[in-house]
Amino acid sequence: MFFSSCHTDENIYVALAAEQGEEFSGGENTSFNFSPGAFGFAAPNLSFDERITFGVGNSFFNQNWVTAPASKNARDGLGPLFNARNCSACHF
Amino acid sequence: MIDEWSGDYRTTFLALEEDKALDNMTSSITELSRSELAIELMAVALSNQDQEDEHSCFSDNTHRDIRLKLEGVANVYNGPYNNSTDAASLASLITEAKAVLGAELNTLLSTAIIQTNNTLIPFDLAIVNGATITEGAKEQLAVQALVAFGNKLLEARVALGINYMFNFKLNSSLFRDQFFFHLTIKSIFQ
Repeated sequence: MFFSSCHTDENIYVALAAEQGEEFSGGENTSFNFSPGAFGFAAPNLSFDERITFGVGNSFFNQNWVTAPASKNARDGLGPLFNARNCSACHF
Repeated sequence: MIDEWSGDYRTTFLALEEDKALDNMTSSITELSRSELAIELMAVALSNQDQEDEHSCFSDNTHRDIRLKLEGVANVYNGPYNNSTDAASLASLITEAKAVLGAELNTLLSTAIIQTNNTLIPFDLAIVNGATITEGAKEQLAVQALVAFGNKLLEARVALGINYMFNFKLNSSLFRDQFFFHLTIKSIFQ
């Protein structure tokens, strides 16, 4: 008959400890915003120009587009087949 | 929707914990000043140079939207209750906590108001030629001033002891422990 035991020194329980900064899953860009729009903010470490670029992209993403040709030049080019009129209707 | 709009926010607000109320006040005017107003309303339109990006394109009232939003920011910051000058305000609280910072913020807010009032009416004519041409450049200065005020206000959150991210950046274990404490308390009571 063969007996084995788990009581070796290697199996002494060591409590898990968090690494330094582990609670900040996004590093310096970790957000503590708990609102539904929490993922819609620019990263905090963007420069002034980068924040403007983010704003332009964000408006393209969120605002409604129209099919081209249209009476306006901004945000036309939707379709010819589409499920929704803006990106954020599906992606978020 | 009727339910959502029929509440009395004054009652809700006064019932908040002091830190939470200050957090709401500072974070809302920070975001309104440096993100919603400066970037989304002004800089995006200026960058695209298109009337389509105007906040109030049809009524041609965007210049007024911008000025009134900034007035809202100033009202929350300075708390001018019926023109009384001795009432408590976010401005006086920040000045009490850190006088230099209070003075800097007052200057930055005044600059933002001056630069914003200096922009051309109506808004679409101000943005049509982009950020480098005369009227667009004025618009750009207003954007920069609004962002500067909002950014500086983030420092006030540290002075008032309500900004967790800045505490993290200081990378001090004391601050980190405080943060953990706040987060734990928050998660228990929310």
